[in-house]
Amino acid sequence: MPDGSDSEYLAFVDGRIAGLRRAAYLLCGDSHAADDIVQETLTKLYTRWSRMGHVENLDAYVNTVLVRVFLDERRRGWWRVALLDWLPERAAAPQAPVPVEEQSFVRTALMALAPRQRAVVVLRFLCDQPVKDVAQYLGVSEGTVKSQTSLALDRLRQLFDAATVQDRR
Amino acid sequence: MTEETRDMTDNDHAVRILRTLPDQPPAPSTVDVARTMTEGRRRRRMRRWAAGTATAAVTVVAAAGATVLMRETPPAPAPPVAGPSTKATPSPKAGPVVPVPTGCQVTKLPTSGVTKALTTAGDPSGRYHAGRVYPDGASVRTVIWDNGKLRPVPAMPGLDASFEDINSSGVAVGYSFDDAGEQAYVLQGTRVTRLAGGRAAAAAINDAGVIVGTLGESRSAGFPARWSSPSATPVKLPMPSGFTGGDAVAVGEDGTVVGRIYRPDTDGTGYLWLADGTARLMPMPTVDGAEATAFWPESISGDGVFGRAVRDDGEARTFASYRYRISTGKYEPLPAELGPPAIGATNGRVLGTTNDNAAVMIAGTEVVKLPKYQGLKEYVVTSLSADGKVASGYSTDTTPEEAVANRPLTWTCR
Repeated sequence: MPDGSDSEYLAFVDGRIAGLRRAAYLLCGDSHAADDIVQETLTKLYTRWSRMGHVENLDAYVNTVLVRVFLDERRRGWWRVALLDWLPERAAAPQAPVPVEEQSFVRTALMALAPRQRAVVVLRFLCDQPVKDVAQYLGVSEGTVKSQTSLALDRLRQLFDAATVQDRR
Repeated sequence: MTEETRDMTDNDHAVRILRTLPDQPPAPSTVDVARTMTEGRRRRRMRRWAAGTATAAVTVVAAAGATVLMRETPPAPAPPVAGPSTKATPSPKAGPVVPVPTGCQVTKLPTSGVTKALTTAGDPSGRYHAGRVYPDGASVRTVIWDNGKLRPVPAMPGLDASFEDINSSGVAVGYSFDDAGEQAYVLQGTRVTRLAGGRAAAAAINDAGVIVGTLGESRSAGFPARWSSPSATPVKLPMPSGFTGGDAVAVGEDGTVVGRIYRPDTDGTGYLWLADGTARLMPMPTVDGAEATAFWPESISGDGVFGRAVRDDGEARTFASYRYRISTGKYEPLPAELGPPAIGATNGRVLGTTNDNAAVMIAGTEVVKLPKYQGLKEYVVTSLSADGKVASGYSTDTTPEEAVANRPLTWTCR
């Protein structure tokens, strides 16, 4: 593995981790799980780094991998293999107190969506990705993204309304 | 039109509320870039090793249609990684000789022209397979294949629908998501109906029609459960004190149920509900001279439970694949670490995927690579017939054309 390629990888990764963690956190609602997703996403990226020459839009590629890792629940236990001794370090790290806002009805409602609907909503409205790109990340048609968006927003509206009614009581 | 739709939904009330959500993870980052490179290099080595083996030991014979015939020359070497699997040499006394699969062929299941599709389950006879197809411009739907042909049956309602298992009569069970969360379904004949019990997920069905799964939310906030038939009311399976939840994962033909049960804030460990009505925690296998932290069962075949031992030693988390014999209570290491699920057959063969995501069949100490479909390299396996001759699974490669190039496949071996 030539050093040049490694430094290109490091240069690419540098500055992108915060954005990837943010997206992963919005998708899964748990900061440890979000870090797991980012760790696995970057590992997959590095594994394929030497063959990345033909990929025109690396950010789109990385987003695709991130979403795929998030959705691929069947293998979630499997990619934990990659964590190894990284896990206990995390356990030893100081635990930030969970802000009250973390239990907010907004996050609760978001987490109540099925994973694919949640991915569509997070990517479109919280990560500001166009429909076309979201369709590519999820491996579905643009029509599917739009219909999933509509279903997800209907559901969110119901949940937000219910939460508001409860607050007033 | 895309932009127009976007602008309209951007002004949506729900979207405005959603955007008040804090998006920064509350805990400091534990992403370790150096480790992505170490692990990435390890995976590359695995790939090279796999490629080298294929060139040296495999003869490709052109065959008709979508079928590629490959002959493998076992044995495959043990994976060159430090860890428990390299020491996993089964005892020569461990039961009868397992027939090594030969003449394995891979075949893509028909999809009526849909490119993206995958399998999710297969029956013990090798006749039925269940899966999903993703038609362009239409919703993803569940499908059933009967003897390799698409069968005209209704799809399971709900989002992310998946048939998790199917029995030799073609009765399939699974679950999807609706507004209330997970909902379990059963397909009988040409009817898809909800299983009783409210929020639930069905994981497995045996040939007697006994269904097992989870009541409540699977894999986090549910209880292991059993439906004695597709029309039965579910019963929660008992758990020892201190355990607060769990999932039934698989059911044997004799009614033995295996699952994973959890203490609060743990990853859970294996539990057996035996056909005689007794139940017990699965013991911890010894990995590299130390007791495992947990055993995660993935499938059951006759007397064997297949899954992975997990060991957290304070510095590292390691995995090793095992067959657990219910009758003796002993673990036998498998000769390779397998990604989930490891699926056993009555002749002793075990289907799984190795660290490089190749589909393999294990026979005794032999690890036989199953042929690739059109050069694709990464697979998930979903079923193995009871006679160990018909396997199913799908590809998961990322290609320049597709984010996830899923193809539904069966492998048949002698």
